[in-house]
Amino acid sequence: MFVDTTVCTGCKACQVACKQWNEIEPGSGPIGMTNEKAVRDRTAFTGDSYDNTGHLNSYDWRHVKFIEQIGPDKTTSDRTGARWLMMSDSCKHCEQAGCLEVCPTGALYRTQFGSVDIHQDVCIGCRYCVGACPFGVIEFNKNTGRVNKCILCQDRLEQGMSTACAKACPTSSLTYGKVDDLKRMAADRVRALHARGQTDAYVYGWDLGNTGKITAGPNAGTAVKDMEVVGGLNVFYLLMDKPEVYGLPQAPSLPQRNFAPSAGVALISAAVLGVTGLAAFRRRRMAEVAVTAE
Amino acid sequence: MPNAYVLEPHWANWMLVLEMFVAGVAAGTYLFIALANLASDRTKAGATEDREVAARAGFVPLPLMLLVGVLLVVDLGQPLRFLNIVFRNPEAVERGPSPLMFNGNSPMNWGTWVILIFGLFVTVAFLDALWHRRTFRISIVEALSHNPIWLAIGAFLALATGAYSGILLNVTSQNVWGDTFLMGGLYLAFSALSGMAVAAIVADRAGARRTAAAVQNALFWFAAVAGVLLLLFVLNLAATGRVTLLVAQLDLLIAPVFWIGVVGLAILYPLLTYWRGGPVRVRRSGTTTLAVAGTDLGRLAMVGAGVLLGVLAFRYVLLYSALAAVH
Repeated sequence: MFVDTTVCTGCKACQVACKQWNEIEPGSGPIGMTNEKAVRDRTAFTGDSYDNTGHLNSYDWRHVKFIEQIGPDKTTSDRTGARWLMMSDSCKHCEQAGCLEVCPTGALYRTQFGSVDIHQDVCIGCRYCVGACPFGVIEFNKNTGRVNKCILCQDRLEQGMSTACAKACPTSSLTYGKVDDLKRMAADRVRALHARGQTDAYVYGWDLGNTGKITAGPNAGTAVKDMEVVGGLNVFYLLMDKPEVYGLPQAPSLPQRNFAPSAGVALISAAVLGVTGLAAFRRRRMAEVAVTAE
Repeated sequence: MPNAYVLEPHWANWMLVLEMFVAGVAAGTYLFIALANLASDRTKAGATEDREVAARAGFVPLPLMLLVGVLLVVDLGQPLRFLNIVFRNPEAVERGPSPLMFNGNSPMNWGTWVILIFGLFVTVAFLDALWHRRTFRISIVEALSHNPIWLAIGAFLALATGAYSGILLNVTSQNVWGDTFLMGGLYLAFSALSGMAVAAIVADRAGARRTAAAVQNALFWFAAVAGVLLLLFVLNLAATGRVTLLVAQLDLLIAPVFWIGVVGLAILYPLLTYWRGGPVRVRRSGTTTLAVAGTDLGRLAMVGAGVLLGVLAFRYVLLYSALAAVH
């Protein structure tokens, strides 16, 4: 899936379609919400943004981010230089998926479409995938005792249909298709935007060779370029500002990078502890022998 | 806006702190049992003391490992579903035809199998403890529990169990946990330290002066190893710019618990107590040669209890520092 953030209007049709097709309950409320009853009833609002979901979670598999670059004082009527960036976010279905790699039961698996799906009956709710995902996508569902995330409408894909979100998107911000075709589409789109003077456009997920410079907002003047992350993202983005601005990590990596080094350090430590432990007991005996020999 | 890593708050909870602490103590205690049996000199008078203390300590690991199982069930809430981690659920066809579940890329799978096999060794240690109390007799238990190869394998599994949760946390994308690759060694060192703290209390209560002398030595050196690894860990975190989450984080009382509990009780308390008394002093008592600890036995139990508290603090700050990062 290709997400062109430049044409997203924040209408949230994709969120609604996702919930409707997958029959997901209302959301759990945004981060930082203090009204416990509202959170419990899942009717909470942030109060300072049009974003009423706050983050991806087990109830919101798709989330439209509202990045309001208004300045520190949101109450001022001066909107000079202000801009809103919108982005419809979801699971990225990474080529090197940390969640899938660490799953100890095989609940997470790669589908024939390249997406990452969950066998709900196999998931034991250990939450290891929650900690492994570098994008903070997956969340534990307290009601079911299992984890949830976007499954790219696997049932629709099997019937030759597009995803519900892409089908509902009124501006073609979300496009479903073969990744190679979508990469070509993204490259064409970036070129067209650059030709119009919007040099801040670049691709997050694959390196298609584009470079540019941010033209507006607090990061104006910063150089940007396409970036391939975790082996490539099967849901990738056309962005207009630094990844952090969209809540995306600058350089996400597979958690397995630490596995062998961590095990190696543990082995060395084990050897040191084993030798010192044995020495502690042996040393006492050697002292005894020395005294006995006197 | 920094990298928006969102940590599921229920990942770090008190149940997990207790699970990791209890499993670490069980693994460390078995390590002591193996060391005491492997290094004891059975030809000398009074040399059976080590084995006697080790047998007493044998009562500790099995109940603790069972407690870990109970805590896991309470934490996950789905005891039957947990079998999917050992036996492949037929629905998980992508994992091949094997009826057993093993994903080599998942530390959790490695850990599960290591702990399952380790369970056999702690069971034998427990039965041996019963044998010493003359309440239970199976000849194979006696043969196994003092067999050097059996003990060496058991010690290796105990070390692997001690390192497991650290490696598990290392292989995540979370702040602090995923920033370093030292946590496997660090968790192992603190696990060994906690096991030796249990041994200190057991030796003290048994009035076993010879064993206490060795335990005192081991406590000193294990604290030194843990201290070096902790220093490297802190330096590593400093290099990634996240050291303040651990050493200066007042949220959730991370920093006070780190300095007082981890640095003070777990590392400095045994180091400073046995800095002078660490090397064993030997004296004759009648016809028996005794290796005597530099301090009295009652103090050894106190140091052991202090270290255990410090290791609990270690489990807390390491787990909750990642949570504090998103507060």
